Amino acid sequence: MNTEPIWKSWFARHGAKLLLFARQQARNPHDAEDLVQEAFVRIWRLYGHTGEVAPGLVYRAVRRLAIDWARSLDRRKIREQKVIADSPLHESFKFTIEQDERQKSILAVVERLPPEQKEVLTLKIWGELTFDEIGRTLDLSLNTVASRYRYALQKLKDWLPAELEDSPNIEMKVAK
Amino acid sequence: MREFEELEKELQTFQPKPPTDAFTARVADALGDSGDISFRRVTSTPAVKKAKSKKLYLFIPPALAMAASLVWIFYIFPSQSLVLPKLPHSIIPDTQSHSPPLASVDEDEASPLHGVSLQELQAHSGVPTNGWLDPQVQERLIDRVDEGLIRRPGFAPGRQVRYHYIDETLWKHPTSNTRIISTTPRQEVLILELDLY
Repeated sequence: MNTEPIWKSWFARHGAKLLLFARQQARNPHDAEDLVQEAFVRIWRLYGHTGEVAPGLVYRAVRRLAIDWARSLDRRKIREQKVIADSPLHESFKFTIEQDERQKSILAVVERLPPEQKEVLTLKIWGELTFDEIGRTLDLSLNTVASRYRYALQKLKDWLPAELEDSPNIEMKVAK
Repeated sequence: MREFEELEKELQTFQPKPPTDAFTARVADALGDSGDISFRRVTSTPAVKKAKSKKLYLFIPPALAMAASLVWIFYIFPSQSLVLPKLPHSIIPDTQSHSPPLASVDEDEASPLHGVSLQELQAHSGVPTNGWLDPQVQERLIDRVDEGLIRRPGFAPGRQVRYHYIDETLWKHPTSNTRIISTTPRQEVLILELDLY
């Protein structure tokens, strides 16, 4: 009978989503990893003995840590801006050759969304959190979360045709 | 939001990259002992089904034994069991012809369960009852949170510090190479008195 620490299966299930969220909070892939590590370790030390930790707790810890770090790391702002340009959002995703161009275009549009809408979209689509959980994670009301999500999708729908037109080989599925 | 359904579905097909092995190893290092607090068994599905059916078999022999003993009791003492409702005075025990109890229970002083001997306990549970080493108790500090200054009516102000511990008790049985670990979370709050100047 083999055993494995519960945190490993938990991390395998939620690690990718947390990294994606942290990537948007930190704006730097290395800081994003540091954020996830710090937040996960803190929460797991407090609640890991229960065997299951609500992902929302770790998302919230990531966000709060990101805010704390941003306050103390203003001097690194210029360097981070350069890193943003070097690491677009689509690099945080797996992709296949067929999907590559279309996925890149869609994610490029996602990247253009205002940060407050992008984080809601990320938590809903890829974090698989409910609006209620997102509200608690971001300290927002349910209505604000729902409207930000709707605005984000509306913008994606409006902007996508133009973005996809630039890539002639891509099928205009979303624009229809 | 039906108009966005197609878009949502397409976005959901994009899979974020999983954490790299190096990053997972880094998290494991950072977790340290806290990562080993809780474990899960990794078993295949057929093994689980087998374990369930095995459990069912455990209940069959006691049920058969109970049925057999009931039949035996009714066979040996038919008059008492049948006549009892009609003759209320027979409830009073007859002191002159005192018969032994219907079923005697051999009490095993060493057994933690009443009416179950150590041998029976061992046979049914599959866990040895002798040969355990003394339990090892360990207290592990998980976290310490400084909750800042607090005011206490009638006392000097203090600094409240909350400690999170895990109490771990380990029982070892070297002969069968069996280990039982119990982990219990515990909180302690200390108030450090501050001097007023």
